[in-house]
Amino acid sequence: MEKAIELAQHLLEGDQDTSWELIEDERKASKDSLYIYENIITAAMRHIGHLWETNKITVADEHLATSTCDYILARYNWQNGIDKQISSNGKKAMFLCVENEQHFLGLKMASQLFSEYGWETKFHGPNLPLEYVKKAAEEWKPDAICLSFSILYHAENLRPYIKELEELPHHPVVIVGGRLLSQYEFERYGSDRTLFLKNLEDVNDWLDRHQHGVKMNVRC
Amino acid sequence: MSDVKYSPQPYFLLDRDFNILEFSQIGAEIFSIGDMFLELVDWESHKKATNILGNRESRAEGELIMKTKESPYALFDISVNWNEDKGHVICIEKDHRLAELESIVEKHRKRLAETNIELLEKKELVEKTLFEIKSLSCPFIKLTKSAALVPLFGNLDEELISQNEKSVLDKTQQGGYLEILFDFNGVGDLTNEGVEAFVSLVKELQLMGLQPCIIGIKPNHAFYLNNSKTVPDVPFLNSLSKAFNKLI
Repeated sequence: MEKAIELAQHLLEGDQDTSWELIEDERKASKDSLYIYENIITAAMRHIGHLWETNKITVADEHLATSTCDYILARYNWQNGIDKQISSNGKKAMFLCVENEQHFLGLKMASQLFSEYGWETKFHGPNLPLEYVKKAAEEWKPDAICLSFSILYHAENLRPYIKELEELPHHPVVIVGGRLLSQYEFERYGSDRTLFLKNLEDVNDWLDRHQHGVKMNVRC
Repeated sequence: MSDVKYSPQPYFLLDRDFNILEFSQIGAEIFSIGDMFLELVDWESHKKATNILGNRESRAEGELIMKTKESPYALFDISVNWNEDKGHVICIEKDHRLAELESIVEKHRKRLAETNIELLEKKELVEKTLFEIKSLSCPFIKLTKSAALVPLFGNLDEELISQNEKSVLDKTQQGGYLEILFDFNGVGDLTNEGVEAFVSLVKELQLMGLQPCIIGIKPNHAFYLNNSKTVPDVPFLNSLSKAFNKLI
């Protein structure tokens, strides 16, 4: 937690270089992506949320931290791509936040975990209206479409997104994530095919199981 | 209802339990007002709202997510002042400046998504290398017990002097030199800021009781030095060999 608080401070200062050095040290200490994403970056952003809750910072400060965090995530992903020779598994996944949802960092980390497992990914970022998602998915034909939301009243958007995306001709699997999933049940918004993953650990476990499934299929 | 009705901002008068006693017309235009102030606050901001409002000793303020008729998730600045068990609260919606900030952040996000991190790292590496090159472009060479040669290489700009100034001054002092020969033979272009920084270094050396000397000035250098606010009052020699002869 100490490192996360330290990172939170650098992010709030908009200090990209020192933030990156902290992540780089963790990477060099052989910490894996899941650990860095969950225990350092997510924990830092939660601490920033706590600082807002306790009236220590403003939303403007949070925006600067988000922007800085976005940069270190991009740099981490790029560095990871160099260090690890990732071979493609031939699968494609697209990532987006439902309409009006602005919190995208968790989704970005999820997309980067997918990349590490050899998926080809397309990150569409925050606030993507359903019509755009459908068009992009029809053209690109992803195997998985990952949706994220962090604000409770955005959950209402889930139902049409899940329904229409699962009905696409190539039948992608729709995966839903976001911080509220560990607090509430949202299954009622989906179908029996929809996956609800509570955190990045769940994402990693699913990718792990999926990877083994792919390998077994290949062997068969 | 008193004159608070005409407050130009959303205003609420609360009791100790945060029940709404009075409110302004503007408040009623923006919020669907019930009995409790907390009903106007997003559920995730309740704890924060209670903390801000609960400070009855003094004035307090902070940001809250509030539910308006327009949006269930709107950011407000609230200020509260308590007097005799009555809380006077003003809520001001965060204005367009935050929207501007959000659009800038979004631009950064999009630009980052398009940025080739590999090129970015190469650029940073080039900048680091350039810094190292500049640090190596001003070597300090001992000629005799009392004289040292400082050949300058590359362009004479502010960075060349600022990166090397301290090292030149330190070495000069430690070595107990009397004369420092600055050799301009390896200098390409000059900038006004670079010349000013160099003249300032020369003056510092003079103040330390040393005799700086400048060698190998080319016509384009002379133009800049002549235009400098203060041309250093030092000997100028056209070649290093003349300087050597002078020393020996």
